[in-house]
Amino acid sequence: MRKRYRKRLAMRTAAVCASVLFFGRSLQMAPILAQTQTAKPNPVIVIETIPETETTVSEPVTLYDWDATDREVLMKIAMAEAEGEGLYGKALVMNVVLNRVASAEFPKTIEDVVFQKKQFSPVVTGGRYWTTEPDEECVEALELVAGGWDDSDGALYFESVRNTSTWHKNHLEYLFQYGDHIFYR
Amino acid sequence: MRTLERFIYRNWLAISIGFILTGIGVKQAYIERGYAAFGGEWLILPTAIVISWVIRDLIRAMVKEA
Repeated sequence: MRKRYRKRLAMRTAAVCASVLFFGRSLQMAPILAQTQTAKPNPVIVIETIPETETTVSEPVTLYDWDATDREVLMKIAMAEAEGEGLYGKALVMNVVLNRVASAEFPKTIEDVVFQKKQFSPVVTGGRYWTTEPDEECVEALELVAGGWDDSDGALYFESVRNTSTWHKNHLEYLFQYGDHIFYR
Repeated sequence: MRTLERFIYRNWLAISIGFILTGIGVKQAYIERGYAAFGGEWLILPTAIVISWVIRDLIRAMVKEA
């Protein structure tokens, strides 16, 4: 009787442990612990104002180089990724997408870059890409980027400061931090 | 330790389902919100345990009446 109880207890504890592991994995993907544990905020280099004279204009492109879908995709991804990052935060996200389009390592169109598998997390089913609408800042950011504004230093990747994964840090070249995003090449 | 052992033995199914559903809920909420926060999804685990207790009590009451 006792032996049977022990055996059952072991199996049930194993089931509970497996579910706890699954739960832990989910938390890793949604870095809620990372945020709550770091009550002390990470040092953030905030570029408060970016004077127009210091902007680096590379390969000027105009708004008319993109069709309506491209503009929509750029604004939506900027909104989904950088809603609280301000005008330049949104413009930097757009810059990263455009840098990827220009890079040989990534797809050749804006849409393909944004929807490339396992790249931009908000485009997953039910993600913020589908649930948010671009605001006025997104339109301004698009105009800024279309006018040639590019302070991304050729960034091809960015991650949230709350991301607990070390992949970016270990495999890419750190460029700069703007708000809650760290940019890499 | 003995109490925890007994708690796991009796409620293992509710705990397991609760943890799995909370994990899925937290992930989905993060995708939906775009930022990490504590919301209703964290109540899934306690709710699952409470529901299992209620069901168990109901069954016990029904068996007693019959």
